[in-house]
Amino acid sequence: MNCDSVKGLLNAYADCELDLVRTLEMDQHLHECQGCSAAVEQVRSLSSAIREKLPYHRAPEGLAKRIGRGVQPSTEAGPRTYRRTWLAAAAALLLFASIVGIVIPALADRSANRQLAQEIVAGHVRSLMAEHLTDVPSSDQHTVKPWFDGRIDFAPPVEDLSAQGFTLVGGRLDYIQQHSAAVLVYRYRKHPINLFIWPEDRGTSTSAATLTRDGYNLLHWNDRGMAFWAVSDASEQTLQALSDALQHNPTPAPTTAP
Amino acid sequence: MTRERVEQVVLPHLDAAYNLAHYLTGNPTDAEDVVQEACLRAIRAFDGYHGGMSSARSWMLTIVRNTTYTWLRTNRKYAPATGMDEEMENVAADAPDPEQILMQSVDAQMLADAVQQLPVEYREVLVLRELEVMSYKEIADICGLPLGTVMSRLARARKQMQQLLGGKVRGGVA
Repeated sequence: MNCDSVKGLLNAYADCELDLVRTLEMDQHLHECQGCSAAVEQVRSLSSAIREKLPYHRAPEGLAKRIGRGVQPSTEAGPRTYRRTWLAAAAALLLFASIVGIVIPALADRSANRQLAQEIVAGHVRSLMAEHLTDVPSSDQHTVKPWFDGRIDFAPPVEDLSAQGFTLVGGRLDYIQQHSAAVLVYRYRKHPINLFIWPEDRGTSTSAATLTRDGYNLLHWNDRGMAFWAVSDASEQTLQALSDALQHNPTPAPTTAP
Repeated sequence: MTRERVEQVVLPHLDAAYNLAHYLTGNPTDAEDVVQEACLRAIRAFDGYHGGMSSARSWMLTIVRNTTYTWLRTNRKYAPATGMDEEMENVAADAPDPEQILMQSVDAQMLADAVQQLPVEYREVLVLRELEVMSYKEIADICGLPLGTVMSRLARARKQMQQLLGGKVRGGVA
């Protein structure tokens, strides 16, 4: 490869979008050519400056509601009506979910997991919708962890993973399959990640398995007597990194209250 | 379609939708109008969505993008950037300038101003790549472009950003 052929691929190389063969050829050229490797560095530093500093415009409050109203062919649409219909819809959904849960007992782990995944996604989406990501907003693990005491009968491991790029946003209580779950909310770049945790003793730790639902990625695993379900619109690899970080960075085994 | 499905598929991507519309239209009021229109389109078109694109977010952003272009054309705010047609010819010319810019001296406002000066076709690939962290393939799907065009537009977008920022940094120092 010479500088001319390399120049056209610099951006794709910096973005890790080249195939393996070309990547290796580029590696070799960049090793030998100072000019081209400086150019790659430039692309990378611009790219990370944009990611870190360019404002991300979040949708203004109320926009979701206005759109929600467009869907519901309802009569009047005051905020209270909206909330009531939303609650009714949520209640109906819950009722439906519980009927399904009773009438069609899960035949296999896999189909049970699928249903669980749907519930987890629904919980994740609800939290984003209602702007109810957290009950205890804090990036401090020592604030989030004690908050769960007295609210649930187990102690979820709350870890500071900021070194791995996961910012702790806070914690929340949710209800998954008729039991309470602790939800830790992390943010990775722009992506909120909900991590659902509840006690479930499978005897041994199980390795992580992935699922996709409605465009969301889910990753679940068992560790130290707890079930972990992570859900986000972030990539599978991101969730895997979170899972790895949590399991390589263990706190003392969580205790179950009497 | 049910309300629950709207909530699960359309609304979670509202921030991404709004962010893209904001950068493409250049202002918050127009962005809101466009997003509202796009969501209604999405809801009407929902029966046609079977999770075919790589994600609901891509599907949603495709609709936002198309709605924005319709809106830009209707409001005569859209003039295709010149030289778009020859973009496949010489990608090598899109390599960054050898001149180095100290990125630490670049702030959010300078970046936002520079992005706003890019042609809209460059702006969209840059926003999707850097703020939504999407792959070239996903961007190609959303914008309806060949992969090679995504690559060259992104290269040009970055090159122009560097030139614009270079001017600003120098202007700020002088």
